[in-house]
Amino acid sequence: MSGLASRPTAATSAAKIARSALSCAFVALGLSGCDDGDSPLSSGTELLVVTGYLFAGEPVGEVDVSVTVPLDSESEVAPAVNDARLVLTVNETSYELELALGDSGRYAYPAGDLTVMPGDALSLRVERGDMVVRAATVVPPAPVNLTVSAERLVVEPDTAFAGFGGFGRFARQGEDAGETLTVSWEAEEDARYFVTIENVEADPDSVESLIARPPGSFASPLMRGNSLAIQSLFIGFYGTHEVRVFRVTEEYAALEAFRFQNLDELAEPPTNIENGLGIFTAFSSAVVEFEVVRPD
Amino acid sequence: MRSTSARSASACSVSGRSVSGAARRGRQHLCLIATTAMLLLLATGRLHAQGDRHDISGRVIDRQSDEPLPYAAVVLRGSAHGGLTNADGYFVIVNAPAELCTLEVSTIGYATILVPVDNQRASSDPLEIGLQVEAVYMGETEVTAEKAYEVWKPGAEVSQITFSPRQLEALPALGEADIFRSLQLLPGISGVGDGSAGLYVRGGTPDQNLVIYDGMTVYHVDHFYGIFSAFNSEAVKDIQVYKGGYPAKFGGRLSSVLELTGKSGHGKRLQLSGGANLLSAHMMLETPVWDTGSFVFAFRRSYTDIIQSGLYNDLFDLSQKEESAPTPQAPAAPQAGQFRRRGFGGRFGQEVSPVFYFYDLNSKLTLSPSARDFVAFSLYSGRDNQSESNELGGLNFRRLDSAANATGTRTNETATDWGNLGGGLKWGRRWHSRLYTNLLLSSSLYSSDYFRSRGFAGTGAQANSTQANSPFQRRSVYEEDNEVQDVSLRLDTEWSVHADHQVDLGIKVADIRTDYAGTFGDSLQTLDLHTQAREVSVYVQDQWSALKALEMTVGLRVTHHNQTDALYHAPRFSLGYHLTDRLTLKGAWGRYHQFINNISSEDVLRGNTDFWLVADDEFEPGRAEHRILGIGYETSVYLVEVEGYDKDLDGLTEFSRRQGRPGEADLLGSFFFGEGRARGVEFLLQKKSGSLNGWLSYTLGEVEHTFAGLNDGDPFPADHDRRHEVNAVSSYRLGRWTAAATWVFASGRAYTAPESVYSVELVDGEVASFVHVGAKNTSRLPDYHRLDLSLTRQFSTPTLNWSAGLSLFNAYANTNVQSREYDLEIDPVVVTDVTTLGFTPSVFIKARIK
Repeated sequence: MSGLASRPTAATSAAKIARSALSCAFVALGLSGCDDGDSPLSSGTELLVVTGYLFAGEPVGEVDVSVTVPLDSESEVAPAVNDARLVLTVNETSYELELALGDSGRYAYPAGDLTVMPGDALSLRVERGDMVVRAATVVPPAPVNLTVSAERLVVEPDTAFAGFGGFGRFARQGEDAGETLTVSWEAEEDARYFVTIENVEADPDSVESLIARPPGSFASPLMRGNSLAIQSLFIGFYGTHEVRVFRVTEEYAALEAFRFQNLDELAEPPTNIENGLGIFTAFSSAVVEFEVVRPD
Repeated sequence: MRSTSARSASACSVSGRSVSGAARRGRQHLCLIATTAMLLLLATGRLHAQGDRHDISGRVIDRQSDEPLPYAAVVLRGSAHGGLTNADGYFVIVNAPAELCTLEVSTIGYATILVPVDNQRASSDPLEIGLQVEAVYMGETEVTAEKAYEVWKPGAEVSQITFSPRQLEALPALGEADIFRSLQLLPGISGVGDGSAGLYVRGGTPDQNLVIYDGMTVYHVDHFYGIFSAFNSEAVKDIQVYKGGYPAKFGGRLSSVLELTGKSGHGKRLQLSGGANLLSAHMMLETPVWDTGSFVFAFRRSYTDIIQSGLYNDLFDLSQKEESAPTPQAPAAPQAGQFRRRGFGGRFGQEVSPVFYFYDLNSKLTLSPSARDFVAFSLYSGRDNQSESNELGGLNFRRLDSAANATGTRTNETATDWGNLGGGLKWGRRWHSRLYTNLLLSSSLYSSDYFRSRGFAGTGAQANSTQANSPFQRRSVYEEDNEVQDVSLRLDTEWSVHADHQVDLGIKVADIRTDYAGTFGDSLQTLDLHTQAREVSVYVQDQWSALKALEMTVGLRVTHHNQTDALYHAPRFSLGYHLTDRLTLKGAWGRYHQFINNISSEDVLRGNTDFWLVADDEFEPGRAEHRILGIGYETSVYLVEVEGYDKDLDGLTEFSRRQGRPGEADLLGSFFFGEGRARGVEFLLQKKSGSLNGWLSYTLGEVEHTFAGLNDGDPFPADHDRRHEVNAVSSYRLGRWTAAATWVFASGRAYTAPESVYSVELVDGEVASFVHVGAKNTSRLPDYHRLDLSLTRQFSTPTLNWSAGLSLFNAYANTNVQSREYDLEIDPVVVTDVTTLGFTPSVFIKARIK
């Protein structure tokens, strides 16, 4: 039997070490009992937010630059960034954008004569202090073979109360009198489009109506199809209307899908802004016209 | 023969992944059979006893109660012969010298004894060796050999620990000695905070631990907000912990194994014991049955839903005054055991008033119908019920998607109910001194129901409404129900083939079913998943004393999973090499699979939850590979160990509606699959015994996950990643008094935080606003540290042994943050730190009728 008395000398030394080590551990607590009390909301990193939409065939428009707002900020208005350097590269040729208005955070190409075309590769570099964000996109192809089913759309003034079947009457009018136009185009698989309808008259006559009609312009939601039916209900004015079908990029389609954020889930739209947030994208469009007329 | 075997094992260990194709499957089957045959041949090479040697076999029991003592060390003094008793207390020393021998028998909590054995003639009668409980404070110490280890000791395998529940009383506790919370004090085992009794072992998550109680798999180990584990320490006899590199006889989990053996009860006389503290009370009845068996029944229940202890509330209120949180609203008096919540930024604080209770019961009937047979029926049941509600008035509701605003009251309600129910029927038979089998039929049911509702009622402008002061109401409901049913049949065989070889063989068939139903908020999204799977596993392993100084365990486990219709091969290898009498080199390598996934459900606002799903074609089984290397230096009093680990994980699953596809009704696009890596090094200095004993450990670790669909595919820290952890545990015994202290420190864990708001003007001119959430797990909670103190005194009367003690939890009242919650629908934003208990004194009393 070996008892405690027979421990080797090394163990005695080890005992001292162990006692010291255990003591050290308890001394350490005296150094660590404080609470910094920092707000967890102040730890967020400020990020640049870029919003840039370019349209094929049109002069390069404005690119907005702002920053994220901390959650504990008194204001939810995003501060505009006016001291950034923006460089737009179109097919490997770079152009510097300049602040367009005083305190707007809005940048544009000063000469106003730079346009982009379908298929152009675009990239944007935004520098602000140590922050550098990049984004890239390709101008999508424009919709092709855009046609409208009729050149004229007859819209009857709606000055009499139609009863509870009023909306049905409008629908029937559209079917019976042929007062629905269909705009169609060749759609590519998985491509997304949206359609705008705009009265281009300088001083158009409005459609007399008891119900609220849309203003002079209308924009459809994003859609996958290859056609859109334009009913007379969409129309608020007589005269020439321009129908423009826009092809959008995947990044814009993704942003649209997250238009309303659920604050319980916090799903955010994907972004093509590297090291930042927002979107930089381009649109291509095709246009066709039709006339809105009164009944004969 | 040895080299042939090695080559064969190497050929089989090419891949642990699933295979396809009949040819490949056939090759793997052949490989398995060949390996088994090789191992058996190897083992039986010198099967027969030599002429001048005989086996010594027997059983180690508690001298007072006749309870078998599992995993007690039985060593032939003056030689390297020896081993451990099995789970039922049996041992055999094969080919011991035919002479007068002395056995040294020891286990934690019992006095080590020396047993003289006349082994000159072969005897088939097994020895029965009774150990005496250490009763140092009774003045009845009967130390007949050198004593070692007070609370836990390293086991025979690398990264294995034997833990004694009996000794837990010596450590500070929150009213009640707790098994898992005590295990969290060991190096490499983390609890991440007070809110979980789950064990994070070497970068693994609690679900990756195989927790077995009397053979039953237990799926959830928390009680009482995680302050206690689901096991009553009074009803547990032994705990074996494998932190990694565990042998082939265990399978089905990626990280570790915790094997708990329940008490079988006093076999000589009726015993009644019980105890109480400020949170709960427990009792235990033990009685002999028909002279051949015993029965034990233990029950524990909290009474926080019935009685609020006045002393506790007084002390708790006292501790509250030490807080300096800005709380313009008068907080309600907290109830016992609750977490306190603190608002930030000077906005306001909120107090919650949870109502909860838990109970558990353990029951076990053990019979020995013959000298060779051993039958036990175990029953375990535990349940938690918790509900919580609070109201906060005078708040502004805000909507990011419109300019609408309202003023009113926020209402939160939460109700959770979870529990385990399990039963096991075990038949152990000692066919021969060298051959022992265990047949176990077990069933385990885990169920969890979770309900949460958040509402806001007030007046203001509804979205799209022009009326400024119309009634405004909003309510979202979140519900999750999860159930796991596991029915298993397993046969384990222990075969002591030779002095240098112990072969373990086994087969297990398990039917596992999981059901999960989730309804999320007002988005009308639901998730409804039901899966049933059958897994069949076979294993073989050989504990081989290759050289006098070299011990190896080589094994292979093969599992067929019917949902994936694939075979999963898991080769295992571990070794211990005694460089000197005191210096040991240890290592292990192995592959592991997990066929039931515990899926982390991300909730940035209120903290993550999780649920179980059986693996199938879509949710692949998890895979891991362990690599462990360590060195230990041990004297009679001290143990110094350094152990490094590197663990690759694959098949990890996370559920995140935040990162899923918008508008998807079935939410299957919200599951993400990835891999991980955990690595670290543990340092341990332990003073094993003596009046002053304890240990100091430091773990440097890192856990990183990589999911293709999360964080842009970049690696990110796992939720439970903690870089530094220190545990200091010290106990000092003076007569009948024991004083103890523990101090723990851990780096703050990682979490994902909402950081800011931004707006994007859409092409139609509408402005969409979003809350931006920071990169995954890049924020860190404050570091965690806590000191606990305790003082215990033992008493003895002619009829009663009893003890009483005082425990001071979080003695210097550090504010430890368990999690961080956000309410972004309120303006200004409410951030609540869910803090763990502050300074919490507790007293307890325990008594046992002699």
